[in-house]
Amino acid sequence: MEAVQSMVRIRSGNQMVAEGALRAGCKFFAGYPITPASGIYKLMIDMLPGRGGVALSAPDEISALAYCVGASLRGQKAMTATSGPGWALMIETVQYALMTETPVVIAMVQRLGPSTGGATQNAQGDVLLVEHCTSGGYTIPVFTPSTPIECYELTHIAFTWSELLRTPVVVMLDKEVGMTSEDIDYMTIHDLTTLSRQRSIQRDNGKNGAMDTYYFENPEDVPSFVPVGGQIKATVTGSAHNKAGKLQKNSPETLEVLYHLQKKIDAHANQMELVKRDLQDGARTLILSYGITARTAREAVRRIRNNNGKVSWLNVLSLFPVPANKIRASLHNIERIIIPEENFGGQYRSVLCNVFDKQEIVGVNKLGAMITPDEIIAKVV
Amino acid sequence: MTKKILNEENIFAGFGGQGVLSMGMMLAYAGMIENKEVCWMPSYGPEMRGGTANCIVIVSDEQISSPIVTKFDSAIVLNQPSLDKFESAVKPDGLLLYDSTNIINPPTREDIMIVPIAASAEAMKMENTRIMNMIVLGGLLGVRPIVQIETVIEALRKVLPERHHKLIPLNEKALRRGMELAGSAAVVTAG
Repeated sequence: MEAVQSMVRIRSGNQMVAEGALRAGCKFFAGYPITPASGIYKLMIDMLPGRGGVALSAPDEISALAYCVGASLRGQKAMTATSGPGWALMIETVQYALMTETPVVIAMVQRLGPSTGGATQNAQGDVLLVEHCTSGGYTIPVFTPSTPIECYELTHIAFTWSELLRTPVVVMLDKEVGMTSEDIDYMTIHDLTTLSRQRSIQRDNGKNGAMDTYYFENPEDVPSFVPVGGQIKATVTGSAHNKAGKLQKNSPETLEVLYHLQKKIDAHANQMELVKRDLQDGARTLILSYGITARTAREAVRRIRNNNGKVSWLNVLSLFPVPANKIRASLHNIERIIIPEENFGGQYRSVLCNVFDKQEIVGVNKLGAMITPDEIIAKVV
Repeated sequence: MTKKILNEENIFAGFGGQGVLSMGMMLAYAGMIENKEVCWMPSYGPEMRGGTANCIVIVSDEQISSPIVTKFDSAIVLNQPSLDKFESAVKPDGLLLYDSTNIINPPTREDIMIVPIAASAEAMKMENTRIMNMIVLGGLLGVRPIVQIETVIEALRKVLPERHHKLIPLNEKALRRGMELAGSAAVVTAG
């Protein structure tokens, strides 16, 4: 790194996703350029080769994620970046990564949909599309930053969980979070521990040096990793399989593997919970935000308090698994919850309904233009 | 003596290719060098060139909460569609600074400060149309000294790759020319 007097720089969210990935030890990137995620693509192509990694320009998004899964199966930390239209093409491979327990991080910068939609317009309309893209309804961990520094930290955290749980993890931005540049002070970034992928020690199952690729004692456990193409034979398939990775249907062991794919995530859901809270004594209203609406919410909170009003604020950084414990712990004396989202139906609001007890839930929703602080304030009684 | 807290919310708007986004970015960089909090939020159409482009730039002494602003202290506009769109978005007593070269319908508000400068015509006189944006930025800083011109030049030195550093004197000249033009512009002042 260049010698500098100050560690303050101007960085966009996209740039910080790329820097967070490099810090997390990402060694492989493949992508297909798409607004508003191209900033990540560009920086990874620029920087990764010089750091001993490989960055590929893929012919399309299907190949991009498939390349990443291949690199990860060989043992390298891998990431791709896309937006809604590219995600639509990647869904099959997201499921393949989930089924084959392959760690991979996908940076998903939302834009206005459906279809090619509005390439340069902000939206938060892909929350349910991202989370509910698997047959069987498995949980895909999703992290949502709202500042460049959070982009850095949450991308790093996404890599950590992806490695620990051997599953695809999504860092979900929106256009404004990805493309807005701000001054950031590198000295304020939290110290982050980078994990190396835990390799399996050879466990001969008596089958000519082969081993059970997906061996676990308890369904909550995560199998240790065996790289494809190494000295130990690893069997990988996207079809239903037993612990050896062999295609099999309806055997008790295969069903156990299918349950295990979800149970390993459920068992760690508490540890994944990440929120930022700014609770005020005596507040009866809570504003719950994520992504770019966190910034609007912060301004709304500032204005309300400047006018001697009382309001609490909760910003969700780990969208899925739903951080239910930390949300519930923030509801003391709260009677009204305001959830601003840049989508028309209140996508995360619909997910949260069973988390709340007796509070009144109010959405602030908008398409094609950003929610303003005043529009949030108008819903505060 | 307490110093007034700086919180300048600006919008730069024009056609893609006029240097709208880079003009805003230079202000943000200069703000950062002067230890201000800064935020630069681009917005443009899907076209690479010729579409509409704008960026919101906030320069503040305090932490910037929301990058989303709907009323501006200053609107800096480079074409008619942007003028039509953003004239009404200037706060009362705010500033509307525009390149008058290509404007057919000038602004009409009486509660804001209006500064027309013929930046495109001036850039042609200086034989490089691409420095039009620096003339406009100089004009802005002439009216509202958000940052020092010297800091913008320092920012240019940091942002431009070495091979383009030979262009810095021309940019400096453009910034200073803009400042002069704004000083002598037929200013329509609020009230």
